[in-house]
Amino acid sequence: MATSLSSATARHPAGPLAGRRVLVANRGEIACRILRAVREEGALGIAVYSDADRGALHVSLADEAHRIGPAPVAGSYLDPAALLEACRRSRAELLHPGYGFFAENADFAEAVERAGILWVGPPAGVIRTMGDKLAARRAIEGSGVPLVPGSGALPADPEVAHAHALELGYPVLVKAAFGGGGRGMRRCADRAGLVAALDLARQEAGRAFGDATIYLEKLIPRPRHIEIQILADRHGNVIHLGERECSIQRRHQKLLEESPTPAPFPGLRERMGEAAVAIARRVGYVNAGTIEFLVDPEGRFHFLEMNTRLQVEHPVTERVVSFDMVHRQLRIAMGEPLDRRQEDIRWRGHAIECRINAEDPGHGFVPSIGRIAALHLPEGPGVRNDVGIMVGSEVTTHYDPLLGKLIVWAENREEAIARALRALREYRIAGVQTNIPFHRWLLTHPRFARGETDTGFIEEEYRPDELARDREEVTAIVAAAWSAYHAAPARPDARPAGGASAWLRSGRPGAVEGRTGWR
Amino acid sequence: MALSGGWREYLAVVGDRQRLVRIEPEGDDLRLRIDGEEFVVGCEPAAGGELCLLLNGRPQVLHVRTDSPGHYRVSLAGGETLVELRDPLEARLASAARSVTIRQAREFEIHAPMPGVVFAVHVREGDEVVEGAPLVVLEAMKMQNALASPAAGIVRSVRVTPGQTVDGEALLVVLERLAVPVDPSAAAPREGSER
Repeated sequence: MATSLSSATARHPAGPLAGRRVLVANRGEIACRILRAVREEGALGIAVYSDADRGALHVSLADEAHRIGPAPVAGSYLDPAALLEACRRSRAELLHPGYGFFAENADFAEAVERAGILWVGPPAGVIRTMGDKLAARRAIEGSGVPLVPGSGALPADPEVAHAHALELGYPVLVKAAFGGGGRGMRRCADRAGLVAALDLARQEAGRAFGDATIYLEKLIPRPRHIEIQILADRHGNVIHLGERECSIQRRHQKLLEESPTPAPFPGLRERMGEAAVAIARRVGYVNAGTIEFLVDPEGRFHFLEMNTRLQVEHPVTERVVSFDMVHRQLRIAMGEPLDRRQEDIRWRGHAIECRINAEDPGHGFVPSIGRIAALHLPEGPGVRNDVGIMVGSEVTTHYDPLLGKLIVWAENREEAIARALRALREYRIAGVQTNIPFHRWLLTHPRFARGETDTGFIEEEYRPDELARDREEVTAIVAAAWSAYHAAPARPDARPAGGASAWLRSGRPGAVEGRTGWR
Repeated sequence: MALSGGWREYLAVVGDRQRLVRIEPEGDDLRLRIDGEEFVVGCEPAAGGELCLLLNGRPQVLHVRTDSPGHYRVSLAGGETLVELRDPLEARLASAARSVTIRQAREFEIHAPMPGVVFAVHVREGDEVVEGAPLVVLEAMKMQNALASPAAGIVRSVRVTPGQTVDGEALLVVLERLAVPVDPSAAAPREGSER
């Protein structure tokens, strides 16, 4: 295994990464995206794979690939010993964790650094602080950045919690200090609801995150979820790259992101950007990070949490500021200073990202599995695809259902929406059900067009029976009937001379070159 | 006659909706009538196993697979549509026969409604269950879904164990319906004392 035959790899002439060995401790679209940047820097890309990913796309984009274990993540992508062994075997000099898996695991980051490998991310201490929501809140208190009003860690006595809740004002959220992705979070409208939620939230947090610490936050009604991308180097330079609006969420999972935000609050980017930079400086942040804010209907923003990693939706920012963030991540890890100052950052146009997931939007977004039988990605002006699959890939329940991301860019939001719809109509994928019909519903929704997005959008607006599958059902029946008619009794091989095919009648003979006949 | 012969009829089933399809050749193409709507369909195989349909002049690229006779899986517009084509005459006969067999069926099978991981199995072979009793808890993404018994019965076999990954449609449990429904109040204490 792991033989390197890549002597012909084109090397970046003089970059700091030239010839370096970079291991990407991830899979799927993000591993592909990072390996591409690694190669563009003239470095050697090292992939890791589980048994299920032996033939995966990310493996084919690497200069070297190492098996790390069986398909279940606990024995492969989430097995620190297996990953460190792959680092040792491949003589990796840098490790990029991507997102998910170990990206925000301080212990793993420490173990990587102890092994003498550069961690492409922030220092372990910062990951640890920001991963504990209460510690993060303490770190930011006094900086002048507004926090969502909340309590400290709650003691066992429910009356103390109730007293805090009265002070904040119901409704409140019970949150787990180490929670994430919406887990360990409960909404309480009154004392009875709070008392009932406390024990359940503690148990859930203890089971899911190994720490039962919970606290209260005031519930902000109808918030927008808007986040600021920052970049920081080891020389004290911190810049922000503006905002991404991520309010379109289902069960706290983002489905579509865009930049700039359609929120109508003048100066929001500057004020939130300054706050994000202040937070990053205060905690000693290095590398790429994201600060999430909740913005209330009056345009007031509140710190929610910090993600100490590259985000799924980073391409939205890359598109509007016209530069590559993963390249910067790698160079920052090598100790290079940032090559841009805040005043160099210019925003242009509008970008939208649709997450293409293997799930059924007509039936509660249940995951869909299968083998990719055909794949044709949209192209044309302003379209970028970051995918992790190819024809033949198996989509299984071992890994998350993100197949890829469609990112479009245009001069303004209206044109970006039109371009996204156009691209989604070109998207051809067979073998699994995808959420593409959902995206088409969303992008044609009048409220979305008006930019009135908040985190309640899908819950309030989405009705699966509006997916309008009727037309597609009839087309599917036509296709099935066509296949059945031609499959059953043998027909003469030769087509009748001058047979008036609908294709020929429509005057597009060029479109059907190389006809092979139907078997 | 340019193609294989004369007209044919199918009963097309998608979900719980049925449509009658009549199909006949017209030159190199086919003429289809679906519930009274007419289509002239030209078709060419495209690269990668896809088909280019020209449907009343409207081009559509899609992918058709057939897993078992009469069952077609059509991928278009990011969605998958399962189409079953039946012989209309046989379908009529079968529906008449089915009403009899369902009433007499004693064994029935519990299938996974979606792919996932078996989180818990609440029954063992030989257990008596009441209608609505949880049989298996299936975890898909972050949700746990309890699959309940559709009727009172006896567990004939359990085909999965906790931790096992299953496909959508996978067989989980086989039950035998009880001739006399189990009295829920009588069964409850027994279940309680065992666990």
